[in-house]
Amino acid sequence: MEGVPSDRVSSLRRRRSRRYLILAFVLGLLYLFLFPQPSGREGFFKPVWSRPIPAPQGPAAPTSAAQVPESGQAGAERRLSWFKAGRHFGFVRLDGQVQYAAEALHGVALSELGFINYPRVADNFVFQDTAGRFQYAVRGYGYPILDPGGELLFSVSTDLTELKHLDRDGEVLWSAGFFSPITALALSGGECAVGLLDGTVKLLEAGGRIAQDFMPEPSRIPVILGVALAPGRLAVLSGIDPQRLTILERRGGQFAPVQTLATGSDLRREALMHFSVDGRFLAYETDTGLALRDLRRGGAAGELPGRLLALGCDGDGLLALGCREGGGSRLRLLRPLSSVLYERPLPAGDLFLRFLDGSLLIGFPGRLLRADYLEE
Amino acid sequence: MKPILLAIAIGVLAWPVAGFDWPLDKVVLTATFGESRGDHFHAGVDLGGGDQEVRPIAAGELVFSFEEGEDRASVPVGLGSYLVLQHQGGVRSLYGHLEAGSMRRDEKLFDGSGPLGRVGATGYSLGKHLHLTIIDTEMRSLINPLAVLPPLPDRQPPVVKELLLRAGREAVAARNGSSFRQGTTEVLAQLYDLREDVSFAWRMAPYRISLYQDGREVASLRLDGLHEKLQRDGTPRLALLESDLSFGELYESEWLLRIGEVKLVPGQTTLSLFVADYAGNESSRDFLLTVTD
Repeated sequence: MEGVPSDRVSSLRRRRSRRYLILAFVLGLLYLFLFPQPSGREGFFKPVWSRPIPAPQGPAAPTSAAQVPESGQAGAERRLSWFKAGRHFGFVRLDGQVQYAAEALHGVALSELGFINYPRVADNFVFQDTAGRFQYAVRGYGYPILDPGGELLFSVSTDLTELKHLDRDGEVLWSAGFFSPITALALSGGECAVGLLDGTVKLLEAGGRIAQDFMPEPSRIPVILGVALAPGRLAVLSGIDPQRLTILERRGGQFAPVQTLATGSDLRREALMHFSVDGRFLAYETDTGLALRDLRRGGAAGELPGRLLALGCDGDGLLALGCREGGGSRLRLLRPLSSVLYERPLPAGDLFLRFLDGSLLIGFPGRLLRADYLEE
Repeated sequence: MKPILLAIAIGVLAWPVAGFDWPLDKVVLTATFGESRGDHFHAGVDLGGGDQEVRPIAAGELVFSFEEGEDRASVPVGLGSYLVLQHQGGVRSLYGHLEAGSMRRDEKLFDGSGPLGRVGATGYSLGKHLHLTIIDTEMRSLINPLAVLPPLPDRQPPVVKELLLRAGREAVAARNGSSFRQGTTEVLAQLYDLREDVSFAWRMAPYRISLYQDGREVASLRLDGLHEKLQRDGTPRLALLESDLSFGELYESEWLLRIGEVKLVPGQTTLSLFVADYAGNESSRDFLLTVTD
């Protein structure tokens, strides 16, 4: 190539290798179209049982046995989960037998160990076990909160300015008062992330001490609209104009922001937020629906329309979403980063979704059902 | 004067100029700021007056709202359906227990004249009323709405029911001529305010309390605002702005307040208790005590 400038030679070589790449890509596409292969994992949703919610029962009075499917996994089938179905709540075994059902007086705090069913004006918190038997009662002002395990009891004052941690004797283990009402709360492993109307998030240790006072990047109007807490991770949705999502990770005992992005939303209410069980994905509400974020890759992982009604996360990475649609709702099952695996409209505008051992419990007014997502 | 008090004073003086107004046409005050709510302060005022529209206290922008039965919340909401507006100067107003479905939360901006909802009984409520909270985000405090909204007519003075002295564990009611042992003694008072437009003895918290010993002021407290005070154990607690008293430090029981301490020396001493309500009505009682060795 004597006489040809060296930069000209390298340019020609680059152009030729680009042509090879394009050709390989086109051939690859042709192969996929001409010789399609099954993915090897086709999913379907298998209804296991469906039953009406029985009339409210007295304590420890199980209902007549439901139509229980034969199963070799008797132990797993007897696992108990709480459920909600419209105004009703209770505890159901995976085999479909309802252990306890009642109607919520005004609200109900549910946990693995039991529940507190409280009236509109409550001055006592009565904890009952999963069969409805009395366990303990404490004097409480405001409304109760239980951690999912049921071991920890909190109360929040009616004006949303005070949060208390109580023991079973009603002793106040710690009490925290805020000048600005609480707008969002997340519990994880005894820690509390408290989002406040003034635009700050207080992270309270198990002993109630403020471990961290976090203020997201400023917006025209500061406000905390949502918080989610997972081991080592905190997500905060904040501000009006712009609305921001901030992801924080624990580094040396303190949470530090690792990602901040403007969501483009203009929500002026609490936005529900939830980490996936493994903490890799975050689901959060926007003003058009629900957005998914892959925290490992730091990018968007999907978006779905409709006002979020319920969200369930499975340990295997499945997400179940219930979104409002017309007068009813739409149930969607998906894995982040992939398309929706299953969806169907439901007639109810009030949904409960919870995964337990790979089974999805779906509750809506008057009915409870279990469906298993299977892949083969 | 402490900078925080100066700023509050300026703010309080400036607010009427900013034109804050009552959010209801018919205002019947049924609970005042700073009252005991069992284990915490009442951080706003409650307004009765029946079924009526609720207006913003001033022009403002919607910041946050919750609709009972419609919205999901991570925290149980005793305020029922409520919304919060932002006004000029970092002031925010919160309107609680609104009638379900009445909130106009599709509107982001309110000019101060149009309704934002109707009085309701959603949330932790024994009847239809409006709970109004005013928050000063710049001063990081909750403000007594009665201190910044136009005065309400009231000629009914507060009631000083009883004065009690406590040395050790027991509190003893003071009467003129009562004898007490010398030493430092805690003073408690059973007191409350009454509203003239409520037909029965509806108790509310007063606004200002002062204790004098032989003409010298020994304790003074105002229920004009609450701020966050970090406790020794690292937990934040709400406390009165000026006196810095937390709920547990102020309230012995619902209407029995810990006013302060006096030092009793042998001889005679006069304790005088002055109580004023938000309208400026005052009551006072003197107690002539004999102090023994």
